[in-house]
Amino acid sequence: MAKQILVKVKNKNPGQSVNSLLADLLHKGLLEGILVPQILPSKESVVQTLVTEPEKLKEADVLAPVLPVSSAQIVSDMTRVAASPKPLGLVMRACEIRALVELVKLKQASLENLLIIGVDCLGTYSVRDYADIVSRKEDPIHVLLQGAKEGKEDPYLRSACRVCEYSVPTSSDLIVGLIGLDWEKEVLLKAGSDKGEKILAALNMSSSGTSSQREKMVSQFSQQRMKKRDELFSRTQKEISGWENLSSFFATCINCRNCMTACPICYCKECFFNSSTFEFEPAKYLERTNRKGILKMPTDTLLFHLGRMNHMAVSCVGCGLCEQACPSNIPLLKIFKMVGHQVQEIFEYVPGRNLEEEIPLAVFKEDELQEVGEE
Amino acid sequence: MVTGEKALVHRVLVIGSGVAGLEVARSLAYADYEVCLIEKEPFLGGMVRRLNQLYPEGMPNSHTLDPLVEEVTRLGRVEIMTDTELVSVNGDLGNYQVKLKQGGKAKELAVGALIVATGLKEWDVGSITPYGYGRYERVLTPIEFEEKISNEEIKPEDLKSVVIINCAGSRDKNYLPYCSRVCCFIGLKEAKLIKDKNPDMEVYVCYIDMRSYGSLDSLYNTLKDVYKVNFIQGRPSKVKEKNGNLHVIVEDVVLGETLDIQSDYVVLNHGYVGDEDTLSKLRIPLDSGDKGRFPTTYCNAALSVDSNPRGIFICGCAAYPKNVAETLVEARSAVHSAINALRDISLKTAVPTINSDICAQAKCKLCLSICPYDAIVEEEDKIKIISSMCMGCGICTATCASGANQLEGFSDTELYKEIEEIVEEDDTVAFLCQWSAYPLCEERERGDLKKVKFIKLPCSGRVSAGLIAKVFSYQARNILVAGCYPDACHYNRGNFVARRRIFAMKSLLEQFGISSDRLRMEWIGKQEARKLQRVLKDMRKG
Repeated sequence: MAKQILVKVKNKNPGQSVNSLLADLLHKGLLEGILVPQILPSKESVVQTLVTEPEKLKEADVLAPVLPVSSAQIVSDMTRVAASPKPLGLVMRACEIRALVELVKLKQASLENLLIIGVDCLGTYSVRDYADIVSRKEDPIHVLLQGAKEGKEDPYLRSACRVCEYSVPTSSDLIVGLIGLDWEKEVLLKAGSDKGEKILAALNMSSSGTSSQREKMVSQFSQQRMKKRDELFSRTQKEISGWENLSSFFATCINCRNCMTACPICYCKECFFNSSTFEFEPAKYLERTNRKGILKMPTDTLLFHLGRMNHMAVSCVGCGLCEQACPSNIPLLKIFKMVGHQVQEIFEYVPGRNLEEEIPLAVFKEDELQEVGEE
Repeated sequence: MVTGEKALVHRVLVIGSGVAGLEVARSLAYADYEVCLIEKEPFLGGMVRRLNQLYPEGMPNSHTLDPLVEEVTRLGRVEIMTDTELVSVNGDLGNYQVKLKQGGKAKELAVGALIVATGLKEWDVGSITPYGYGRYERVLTPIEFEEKISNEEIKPEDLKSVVIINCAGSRDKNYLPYCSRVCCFIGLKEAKLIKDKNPDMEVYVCYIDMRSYGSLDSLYNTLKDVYKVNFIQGRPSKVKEKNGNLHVIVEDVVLGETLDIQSDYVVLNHGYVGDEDTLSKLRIPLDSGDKGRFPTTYCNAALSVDSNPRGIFICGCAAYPKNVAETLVEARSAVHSAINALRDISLKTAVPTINSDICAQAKCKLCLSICPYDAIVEEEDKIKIISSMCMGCGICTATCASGANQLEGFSDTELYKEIEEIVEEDDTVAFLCQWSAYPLCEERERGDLKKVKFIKLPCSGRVSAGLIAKVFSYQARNILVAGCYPDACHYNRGNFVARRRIFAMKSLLEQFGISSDRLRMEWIGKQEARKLQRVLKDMRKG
């Protein structure tokens, strides 16, 4: 059975070729429906759609470099109460898949009956920048792919994507590959699991060789971005050093909780920080103010961010949707990604890597972290 | 039979009819309790029934077990059910529903409490391949050896030499890492048994340490000095067969010589393992090792008022291996505990409540895996605390991200309020475990520790990042989290869970350019008032 095939691209449009592959999956009855991003009539952004009618896949745009919402959250909405009754396909990027794996561990989603179709991701633009590029009558995917081909630094990429180590999807049943290929001519379709292999066989397409460049380029890509990531971490560490700097980092927070709502990992529908535990009587406000003669309002914004960080940092996949959602433009990604990365390293944990890996703060080992205490 | 809830508090189910179960049934019956005694075998007596005689005096069953069986049978108040196995148990102290299977037929029973006296199981000594159990016919377990002597399959009079290998697999991390307590005596008893019948034969006992504690040490001395049993300190490397004879190869560590002892029989004096099947059915928490797991309560000192699960009491070898005398004492103490508990069935341990509206929206079930007692379950789509099994540690409360789970007395609201009220700028805040460090601070001399604020936690496992962040947001100088030493947590694992959280928090602080020394975790024992003082003074320095 072929583990990977190269699919010929028509009209120099890899997206369209992927669409017809997806339509084929529905036609052949291999899937009952597909969750896929679809371009808006205005062209200025995409929305996630669930499609059962192959015809409706014409405007699907699996490559559009924009991520208004993590589809991990959508899959959670669809499968939290019970597993999907019918086989569905999910077209997702690496960060979305990794978040989904974390949500499954947190019992917020079920992968039963689902086929993950991962798509290579070179990065995404913010919703605003994407619309900007469109308004200039340019095609964002062309801008992105052309830029990548020429090896140029793309100034529009979201900060999260610039430092993202995962251009290639993990834990997928099927992978649609662009990196290392001449995507105007062909794209890679590769099985990542037994389930994916069966689907590939059922599609009954002739194999046409492999790409020798791919692995090398993928690793080059991650190396570059990891280097940028580490540079970002050291800059960030300086920027937020000490309580004063940390407070001023979050100073413009208006307590809107958009970051929490956009975060694919934050699974509590009602945040603990919205609970009555954080409500105070009027006298308490004055009492707190009297300590220093001045009290920042709204109160406890820093506490909220630290609390949220602590709840989700071990599972943070660095998608940066918190930052995209922030109306005050607080550069949240760098701080959350940095903290997440450090905490994950302590427990040798990589969020989204493997369903079998247990979330570190829900387990413990007797013979670890021995250096407690004065001795 | 009397029915109604009130009657239940006078009815107790005893599981297992060995010495422990029989003694429990007898004591309960004399205290006017209705007793139901179940036994999975067709006859009463348990493990002791299989023994030829008991140490140290070599008393036969006709003088020990038989009178006990006779007395329990004679007492009208004990309903005896043989061929009966436990299927499941539900309920709480004062009201347990028990499902049984008697010879294939299902039976139901309601009782107020249960006493577990299911004893232990022999560890499979065949897993030590070099000793040849199962390969050589004359390599036997102690019980097989005794049975063969008692039915005269083996006549000590015809034997020239027997080797008894103590600690066969015990205190060895490849097999059973622990000491099973009774085996040394069993070896001594069997050595005496055959020497009594044939003083001219050679008996060798290979041992690592002779753990003949208490007055029973005299048995060892008698065997060594009077009976001239050969005690060889060393763990045999293998048992082999040559020309139809068994040979035990052992390095005598005292003489520094390797011996090759020819022997008619080799007795592998192995260890014992817990009856995991029954214990798990009763949801009794077991210790965390992977072999021969016994109930946790007996691995850590249990100081709680409530048993765990509440209303289920363990005695005899079901708790850990012990001899008949010790078993009898423990059986009586279990009866005492059960009667005391049934006298007042109100809940003595504060347990968490789960706000199911909040929980329903998250329902991550992290609390299910973190609970040391399996006291949290999902029932009818809701996460619930089984109060009869909860010991009130609050580890789950600290794990719950949504805030749905709140331990009474140590809820987030209560602890946050306490922090708000007492914490001032530049303070040192000490979160102390109620079982170890907190009692020490009650009798402290405050003196130069005026800026130290103490906050009591049920267990260090209750500490959460939220509490730490809250304290720091009040500009405290530093925080101490004091838990019990790694092997001494009252709740078995709270300190380990806390340690992970503290390390994660320390890393967070480092990232923020705040010295992680400002958050300190220490193991502080119940008696270590000085250590607490020293640590706090150190934290107030500078």
